[in-house]
Amino acid sequence: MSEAQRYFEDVDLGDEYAESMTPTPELVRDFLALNPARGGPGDGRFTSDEGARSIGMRAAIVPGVMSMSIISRLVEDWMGAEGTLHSLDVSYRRPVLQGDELKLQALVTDADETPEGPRVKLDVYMENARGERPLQGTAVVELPRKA
Amino acid sequence: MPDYYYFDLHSHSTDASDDAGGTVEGYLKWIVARRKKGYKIDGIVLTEHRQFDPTVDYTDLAEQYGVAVLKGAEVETDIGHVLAYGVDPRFTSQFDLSNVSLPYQDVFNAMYDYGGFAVGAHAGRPRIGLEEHYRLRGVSVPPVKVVEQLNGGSNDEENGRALVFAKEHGLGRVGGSDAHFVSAIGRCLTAFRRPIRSIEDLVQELKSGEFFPVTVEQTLAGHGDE
Repeated sequence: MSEAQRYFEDVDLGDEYAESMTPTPELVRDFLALNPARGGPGDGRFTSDEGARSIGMRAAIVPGVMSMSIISRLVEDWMGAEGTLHSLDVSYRRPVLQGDELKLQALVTDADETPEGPRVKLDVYMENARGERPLQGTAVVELPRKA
Repeated sequence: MPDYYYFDLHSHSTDASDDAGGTVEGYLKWIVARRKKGYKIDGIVLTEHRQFDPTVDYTDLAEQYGVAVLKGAEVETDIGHVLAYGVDPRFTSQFDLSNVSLPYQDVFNAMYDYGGFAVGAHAGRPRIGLEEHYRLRGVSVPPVKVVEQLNGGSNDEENGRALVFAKEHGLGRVGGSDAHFVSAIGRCLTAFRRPIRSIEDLVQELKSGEFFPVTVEQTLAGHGDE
Protein backbone atom coordinates (compact mmCIF):
# COMPACT_ATOMS: atom_id res chain seq x y z
CA MET A 1 0.00 0.00 0.00
CA SER A 2 1.28 3.46 -0.91
CA GLU A 3 1.77 5.90 1.93
CA ALA A 4 2.79 8.90 -0.16
CA GLN A 5 0.49 11.77 -1.02
CA ARG A 6 0.16 12.35 -4.75
CA TYR A 7 -0.18 15.90 -6.10
CA PHE A 8 -1.77 17.13 -9.29
CA GLU A 9 1.46 18.75 -10.48
CA ASP A 10 3.25 15.41 -10.42
CA VAL A 11 0.82 13.58 -12.67
CA ASP A 12 1.45 12.93 -16.38
CA LEU A 13 -0.57 11.18 -19.02
CA GLY A 14 0.55 7.58 -19.22
CA ASP A 15 1.74 7.33 -15.61
CA GLU A 16 1.27 3.82 -14.30
CA TYR A 17 0.72 2.46 -10.82
CA ALA A 18 0.45 -1.22 -10.00
CA GLU A 19 -0.21 -3.48 -7.07
CA SER A 20 -0.78 -7.20 -6.89
CA MET A 21 -2.99 -9.37 -4.74
CA THR A 22 -4.54 -12.80 -4.65
CA PRO A 23 -8.16 -13.11 -3.55
CA THR A 24 -7.85 -16.36 -1.64
CA PRO A 25 -10.87 -18.36 -0.48
CA GLU A 26 -10.10 -17.16 3.04
CA LEU A 27 -10.22 -13.50 2.01
CA VAL A 28 -13.50 -14.07 0.19
CA ARG A 29 -14.94 -15.81 3.24
CA ASP A 30 -13.88 -12.91 5.45
CA PHE A 31 -15.40 -10.45 3.01
CA LEU A 32 -18.69 -12.30 2.91
CA ALA A 33 -18.73 -12.44 6.73
CA LEU A 34 -18.77 -8.64 6.83
CA ASN A 35 -22.30 -8.77 5.50
CA PRO A 36 -23.88 -12.23 5.70
CA ALA A 37 -26.78 -11.04 3.56
CA ARG A 38 -24.27 -10.74 0.72
CA GLY A 39 -23.55 -14.45 0.65
CA GLY A 40 -24.68 -14.88 -2.92
CA PRO A 41 -27.65 -16.60 -4.45
CA GLY A 42 -27.14 -19.85 -2.53
CA ASP A 43 -25.57 -21.91 -5.30
CA GLY A 44 -22.13 -21.82 -3.70
CA ARG A 45 -20.45 -19.82 -6.47
CA PHE A 46 -18.49 -17.81 -3.87
CA THR A 47 -17.77 -20.64 -1.45
CA SER A 48 -16.84 -23.77 -3.40
CA ASP A 49 -15.52 -24.90 -6.75
CA GLU A 50 -18.37 -27.41 -6.99
CA GLY A 51 -20.97 -24.70 -6.48
CA ALA A 52 -19.34 -22.53 -9.10
CA ARG A 53 -19.12 -25.39 -11.59
CA SER A 54 -22.84 -26.04 -11.12
CA ILE A 55 -23.47 -22.72 -12.86
CA GLY A 56 -20.82 -23.19 -15.53
CA MET A 57 -17.90 -21.41 -13.87
CA ARG A 58 -14.41 -22.90 -13.92
CA ALA A 59 -13.89 -22.48 -10.15
CA ALA A 60 -15.15 -20.45 -7.18
CA ILE A 61 -15.41 -16.80 -8.08
CA VAL A 62 -14.90 -13.52 -6.27
CA PRO A 63 -18.05 -11.48 -5.56
CA GLY A 64 -18.35 -8.51 -7.89
CA VAL A 65 -18.66 -6.08 -5.02
CA MET A 66 -15.39 -7.43 -3.58
CA SER A 67 -13.63 -6.93 -6.93
CA MET A 68 -14.96 -3.39 -6.95
CA SER A 69 -13.63 -2.90 -3.43
CA ILE A 70 -10.19 -4.16 -4.45
CA ILE A 71 -10.05 -1.70 -7.34
CA SER A 72 -11.38 1.07 -5.13
CA ARG A 73 -8.53 0.50 -2.71
CA LEU A 74 -6.04 0.58 -5.58
CA VAL A 75 -7.27 4.04 -6.52
CA GLU A 76 -7.19 5.22 -2.92
CA ASP A 77 -3.64 3.94 -2.53
CA TRP A 78 -2.64 5.78 -5.70
CA MET A 79 -4.16 9.13 -4.80
CA GLY A 80 -3.21 9.31 -1.13
CA ALA A 81 -5.21 10.45 1.86
CA GLU A 82 -5.91 13.96 0.59
CA GLY A 83 -7.26 12.82 -2.76
CA THR A 84 -10.97 12.56 -3.45
CA LEU A 85 -12.49 9.78 -5.51
CA HIS A 86 -15.31 11.36 -7.49
CA SER A 87 -16.40 8.39 -9.54
CA LEU A 88 -15.55 4.77 -10.20
CA ASP A 89 -17.20 2.98 -13.08
CA VAL A 90 -16.28 -0.62 -13.81
CA SER A 91 -17.23 -3.25 -16.35
CA TYR A 92 -17.18 -6.94 -15.41
CA ARG A 93 -15.99 -8.71 -18.53
CA ARG A 94 -15.08 -12.15 -17.13
CA PRO A 95 -15.36 -13.90 -13.75
CA VAL A 96 -12.60 -13.23 -11.23
CA LEU A 97 -11.50 -16.63 -9.95
CA GLN A 98 -10.47 -17.19 -6.36
CA GLY A 99 -6.77 -17.94 -6.02
CA ASP A 100 -5.81 -16.05 -9.16
CA GLU A 101 -2.79 -13.81 -8.75
CA LEU A 102 -4.03 -10.45 -9.95
CA LYS A 103 -2.09 -7.49 -11.21
CA LEU A 104 -4.01 -4.34 -10.32
CA GLN A 105 -3.22 -1.41 -12.54
CA ALA A 106 -4.11 2.27 -12.64
CA LEU A 107 -3.03 4.41 -15.61
CA VAL A 108 -3.44 8.15 -16.01
CA THR A 109 -5.42 8.80 -19.19
CA ASP A 110 -6.17 12.50 -18.67
CA ALA A 111 -5.34 15.32 -16.26
CA ASP A 112 -7.18 18.61 -16.53
CA GLU A 113 -7.79 21.74 -14.56
CA THR A 114 -11.59 22.02 -14.56
CA PRO A 115 -13.93 24.65 -13.09
CA GLU A 116 -14.53 22.18 -10.27
CA GLY A 117 -10.83 21.72 -9.60
CA PRO A 118 -7.93 19.59 -10.79
CA ARG A 119 -9.24 16.28 -12.07
CA VAL A 120 -7.37 13.15 -13.09
CA LYS A 121 -8.93 10.36 -15.09
CA LEU A 122 -7.61 6.86 -14.58
CA ASP A 123 -8.11 3.58 -16.37
CA VAL A 124 -8.16 0.77 -13.85
CA TYR A 125 -8.12 -2.94 -14.40
CA MET A 126 -7.29 -6.35 -12.99
CA GLU A 127 -5.18 -8.74 -15.06
CA ASN A 128 -4.66 -12.41 -14.33
CA ALA A 129 -1.87 -14.74 -15.39
CA ARG A 130 -3.92 -15.95 -18.36
CA GLY A 131 -3.74 -12.49 -19.90
CA GLU A 132 -7.38 -11.73 -19.15
CA ARG A 133 -8.64 -8.43 -17.82
CA PRO A 134 -11.80 -9.56 -16.05
CA LEU A 135 -12.57 -6.14 -14.63
CA GLN A 136 -11.88 -2.85 -16.36
CA GLY A 137 -13.07 0.63 -15.61
CA THR A 138 -12.42 4.29 -15.15
CA ALA A 139 -12.03 6.50 -12.10
CA VAL A 140 -12.11 10.26 -11.75
CA VAL A 141 -10.02 11.64 -8.92
CA GLU A 142 -9.33 15.08 -7.50
CA LEU A 143 -5.80 15.57 -6.27
CA PRO A 144 -4.53 18.38 -4.06
CA ARG A 145 -2.13 20.97 -5.39
CA LYS A 146 1.22 21.59 -3.78
CA ALA A 147 1.14 24.55 -1.42
CA MET B 1 14.08 -3.67 -42.42
CA PRO B 2 10.93 -2.46 -44.23
CA ASP B 3 8.65 0.15 -42.73
CA TYR B 4 5.27 -1.01 -41.59
CA TYR B 5 2.08 0.85 -40.86
CA TYR B 6 0.31 -0.20 -37.73
CA PHE B 7 -3.44 -0.05 -37.35
CA ASP B 8 -5.71 -1.09 -34.52
CA LEU B 9 -8.61 -2.66 -36.42
CA HIS B 10 -11.00 -3.15 -33.50
CA SER B 11 -12.10 -0.54 -30.94
CA HIS B 12 -15.19 0.83 -29.24
CA SER B 13 -15.93 4.27 -27.86
CA THR B 14 -18.43 5.98 -25.61
CA ASP B 15 -19.87 7.61 -28.73
CA ALA B 16 -21.77 4.49 -29.71
CA SER B 17 -20.89 1.43 -27.63
CA ASP B 18 -22.72 1.28 -24.33
CA ASP B 19 -20.09 -0.95 -22.70
CA ALA B 20 -17.18 1.36 -23.54
CA GLY B 21 -15.50 3.82 -21.19
CA GLY B 22 -13.04 5.39 -23.62
CA THR B 23 -13.69 8.50 -25.68
CA VAL B 24 -12.26 8.91 -29.17
CA GLU B 25 -10.25 11.92 -28.07
CA GLY B 26 -9.02 9.95 -25.07
CA TYR B 27 -7.78 7.23 -27.41
CA LEU B 28 -5.93 9.75 -29.55
CA LYS B 29 -4.29 11.45 -26.56
CA TRP B 30 -3.17 8.05 -25.36
CA ILE B 31 -1.70 7.14 -28.75
CA VAL B 32 0.25 10.41 -28.81
CA ALA B 33 1.61 9.59 -25.34
CA ARG B 34 2.53 6.06 -26.48
CA ARG B 35 4.36 7.42 -29.51
CA LYS B 36 6.52 9.54 -27.20
CA LYS B 37 7.62 6.29 -25.58
CA GLY B 38 8.64 4.86 -28.95
CA TYR B 39 5.59 2.80 -29.85
CA LYS B 40 4.23 3.07 -33.36
CA ILE B 41 0.49 3.33 -33.91
CA ASP B 42 -0.62 4.95 -37.15
CA GLY B 43 -4.36 4.70 -36.86
CA ILE B 44 -7.43 3.09 -35.41
CA VAL B 45 -10.72 1.79 -36.69
CA LEU B 46 -13.80 2.39 -34.56
CA THR B 47 -15.95 -0.71 -34.83
CA GLU B 48 -18.94 0.15 -32.68
CA HIS B 49 -21.28 -2.65 -31.68
CA ARG B 50 -24.23 -3.48 -33.94
CA GLN B 51 -24.38 -0.18 -35.79
CA PHE B 52 -22.80 2.06 -38.37
CA ASP B 53 -23.41 5.80 -38.48
CA PRO B 54 -22.18 7.29 -41.77
CA THR B 55 -22.69 10.84 -40.51
CA VAL B 56 -20.10 10.72 -37.72
CA ASP B 57 -16.90 12.47 -38.78
CA TYR B 58 -13.63 12.36 -36.85
CA THR B 59 -11.56 14.23 -39.43
CA ASP B 60 -10.83 17.23 -37.19
CA LEU B 61 -9.78 15.10 -34.24
CA ALA B 62 -7.65 12.91 -36.50
CA GLU B 63 -5.83 15.95 -37.88
CA GLN B 64 -5.42 17.53 -34.44
CA TYR B 65 -3.65 14.46 -33.06
CA GLY B 66 -2.05 13.13 -36.23
CA VAL B 67 -3.71 9.74 -35.97
CA ALA B 68 -5.88 8.21 -38.70
CA VAL B 69 -9.40 7.47 -37.45
CA LEU B 70 -11.51 5.19 -39.64
CA LYS B 71 -14.94 3.73 -39.09
CA GLY B 72 -16.20 0.19 -39.40
CA ALA B 73 -18.70 -1.89 -37.47
CA GLU B 74 -18.81 -5.01 -35.32
CA VAL B 75 -21.92 -6.99 -36.17
CA GLU B 76 -23.14 -10.22 -34.62
CA THR B 77 -23.81 -13.36 -36.62
CA ASP B 78 -24.60 -17.02 -36.14
CA ILE B 79 -20.88 -17.84 -36.03
CA GLY B 80 -19.89 -15.00 -33.71
CA HIS B 81 -18.91 -11.40 -34.19
CA VAL B 82 -17.75 -9.98 -37.50
CA LEU B 83 -15.76 -6.82 -38.18
CA ALA B 84 -16.96 -4.93 -41.22
CA TYR B 85 -14.81 -2.40 -43.10
CA GLY B 86 -16.12 -0.26 -45.92
CA VAL B 87 -19.76 -0.43 -44.87
CA ASP B 88 -21.93 0.47 -47.84
CA PRO B 89 -25.51 1.85 -47.64
CA ARG B 90 -26.65 -1.28 -49.46
CA PHE B 91 -25.27 -3.35 -46.59
CA THR B 92 -27.09 -1.37 -43.90
CA SER B 93 -30.27 -1.55 -45.96
CA GLN B 94 -29.99 -5.29 -46.39
CA PHE B 95 -29.27 -6.17 -42.77
CA ASP B 96 -30.73 -5.09 -39.45
CA LEU B 97 -27.45 -4.51 -37.62
CA SER B 98 -29.17 -4.75 -34.24
CA ASN B 99 -29.92 -8.42 -34.99
CA VAL B 100 -27.50 -10.52 -32.90
CA SER B 101 -27.76 -13.59 -35.12
CA LEU B 102 -27.25 -12.43 -38.67
CA PRO B 103 -26.54 -15.18 -41.26
CA TYR B 104 -22.76 -15.06 -41.48
CA GLN B 105 -22.34 -16.25 -45.05
CA ASP B 106 -24.74 -13.57 -46.27
CA VAL B 107 -22.92 -10.94 -44.22
CA PHE B 108 -19.46 -11.86 -45.56
CA ASN B 109 -20.63 -12.18 -49.15
CA ALA B 110 -22.54 -8.89 -49.02
CA MET B 111 -19.52 -7.08 -47.63
CA TYR B 112 -17.36 -8.45 -50.45
CA ASP B 113 -20.01 -7.76 -53.10
CA TYR B 114 -20.47 -4.15 -51.97
CA GLY B 115 -16.76 -3.40 -52.13
CA GLY B 116 -15.90 -3.81 -48.48
CA PHE B 117 -14.23 -6.49 -46.41
CA ALA B 118 -15.22 -8.61 -43.41
CA VAL B 119 -13.12 -10.29 -40.74
CA GLY B 120 -14.12 -12.91 -38.18
CA ALA B 121 -13.61 -11.17 -34.83
CA HIS B 122 -11.79 -12.73 -31.83
CA ALA B 123 -11.79 -16.08 -33.61
CA GLY B 124 -10.61 -18.09 -30.60
CA ARG B 125 -13.17 -16.79 -28.12
CA PRO B 126 -15.90 -19.21 -26.96
CA ARG B 127 -19.39 -18.54 -28.37
CA ILE B 128 -18.49 -15.30 -30.16
CA GLY B 129 -15.58 -16.56 -32.28
CA LEU B 130 -15.53 -18.70 -35.42
CA GLU B 131 -13.26 -21.50 -34.20
CA GLU B 132 -15.71 -22.93 -31.68
CA HIS B 133 -18.60 -22.82 -34.16
CA TYR B 134 -16.45 -24.72 -36.64
CA ARG B 135 -15.28 -27.25 -34.06
CA LEU B 136 -18.63 -27.91 -32.40
CA ARG B 137 -21.10 -27.33 -35.22
CA GLY B 138 -19.03 -27.92 -38.33
CA VAL B 139 -19.93 -24.63 -39.97
CA SER B 140 -18.26 -23.86 -43.27
CA VAL B 141 -15.14 -21.71 -43.00
CA PRO B 142 -15.60 -20.14 -46.45
CA PRO B 143 -16.52 -17.41 -47.21
CA VAL B 144 -14.35 -16.25 -44.30
CA LYS B 145 -10.91 -15.29 -45.60
CA VAL B 146 -9.40 -13.42 -42.64
CA VAL B 147 -9.82 -13.74 -38.89
CA GLU B 148 -8.81 -11.56 -35.98
CA GLN B 149 -6.27 -13.93 -34.48
CA LEU B 150 -4.72 -11.52 -31.98
CA ASN B 151 -7.42 -9.86 -29.90
CA GLY B 152 -6.70 -7.66 -26.89
CA GLY B 153 -9.73 -8.92 -25.01
CA SER B 154 -8.96 -12.60 -25.50
CA ASN B 155 -6.68 -14.59 -23.25
CA ASP B 156 -3.47 -16.24 -24.40
CA GLU B 157 -5.11 -19.64 -24.87
CA GLU B 158 -7.90 -18.19 -27.01
CA ASN B 159 -5.46 -16.29 -29.20
CA GLY B 160 -3.37 -19.44 -29.51
CA ARG B 161 -6.42 -21.43 -30.56
CA ALA B 162 -7.19 -18.82 -33.20
CA LEU B 163 -3.64 -19.04 -34.51
CA VAL B 164 -3.83 -22.82 -34.98
CA PHE B 165 -7.27 -22.50 -36.59
CA ALA B 166 -6.13 -19.82 -39.01
CA LYS B 167 -3.07 -21.78 -40.05
CA GLU B 168 -5.05 -24.99 -40.52
CA HIS B 169 -7.49 -23.24 -42.84
CA GLY B 170 -5.07 -20.91 -44.61
CA LEU B 171 -6.78 -17.79 -43.31
CA GLY B 172 -5.27 -14.33 -43.14
CA ARG B 173 -4.68 -13.01 -39.64
CA VAL B 174 -5.12 -9.54 -38.20
CA GLY B 175 -4.80 -8.00 -34.73
CA GLY B 176 -7.01 -5.57 -32.86
CA SER B 177 -7.20 -4.33 -29.31
CA ASP B 178 -10.98 -4.61 -28.90
CA ALA B 179 -10.42 -1.57 -26.68
CA HIS B 180 -13.31 -0.38 -24.57
CA PHE B 181 -11.08 1.76 -22.34
CA VAL B 182 -8.40 4.30 -23.20
CA SER B 183 -5.31 2.46 -22.04
CA ALA B 184 -6.20 -0.62 -24.10
CA ILE B 185 -6.11 1.11 -27.46
CA GLY B 186 -3.35 -0.16 -29.71
CA ARG B 187 -2.55 -3.10 -27.45
CA CYS B 188 -2.88 -5.39 -30.47
CA LEU B 189 -2.39 -4.14 -34.02
CA THR B 190 -2.12 -5.17 -37.64
CA ALA B 191 1.05 -4.39 -39.60
CA PHE B 192 0.55 -3.33 -43.23
CA ARG B 193 3.16 -2.75 -45.90
CA ARG B 194 1.58 0.37 -47.37
CA PRO B 195 0.19 3.50 -45.71
CA ILE B 196 -3.53 3.64 -45.01
CA ARG B 197 -5.31 6.98 -45.13
CA SER B 198 -8.89 5.97 -45.82
CA ILE B 199 -11.27 3.08 -45.38
CA GLU B 200 -10.81 2.36 -49.09
CA ASP B 201 -7.06 2.01 -48.52
CA LEU B 202 -7.74 -0.36 -45.65
CA VAL B 203 -10.08 -2.54 -47.68
CA GLN B 204 -7.53 -2.71 -50.47
CA GLU B 205 -4.80 -3.77 -48.08
CA LEU B 206 -7.02 -6.41 -46.50
CA LYS B 207 -7.79 -7.78 -49.95
CA SER B 208 -4.06 -7.88 -50.74
CA GLY B 209 -3.41 -10.34 -47.92
CA GLU B 210 -0.16 -8.56 -47.05
CA PHE B 211 -0.49 -7.99 -43.31
CA PHE B 212 0.10 -9.70 -40.01
CA PRO B 213 -0.84 -9.21 -36.36
CA VAL B 214 1.51 -7.69 -33.79
CA THR B 215 1.46 -6.58 -30.18
CA VAL B 216 2.24 -2.95 -29.46
CA GLU B 217 5.53 -4.02 -27.90
CA GLN B 218 6.59 -5.43 -31.26
CA THR B 219 6.34 -1.96 -32.82
CA LEU B 220 9.03 -0.52 -30.57
CA ALA B 221 11.95 -1.15 -32.89
CA GLY B 222 9.93 -1.87 -36.01
CA HIS B 223 8.97 -5.44 -36.64
CA GLY B 224 10.39 -7.65 -39.33
CA ASP B 225 8.53 -10.18 -41.40
CA GLU B 226 6.90 -12.93 -39.44
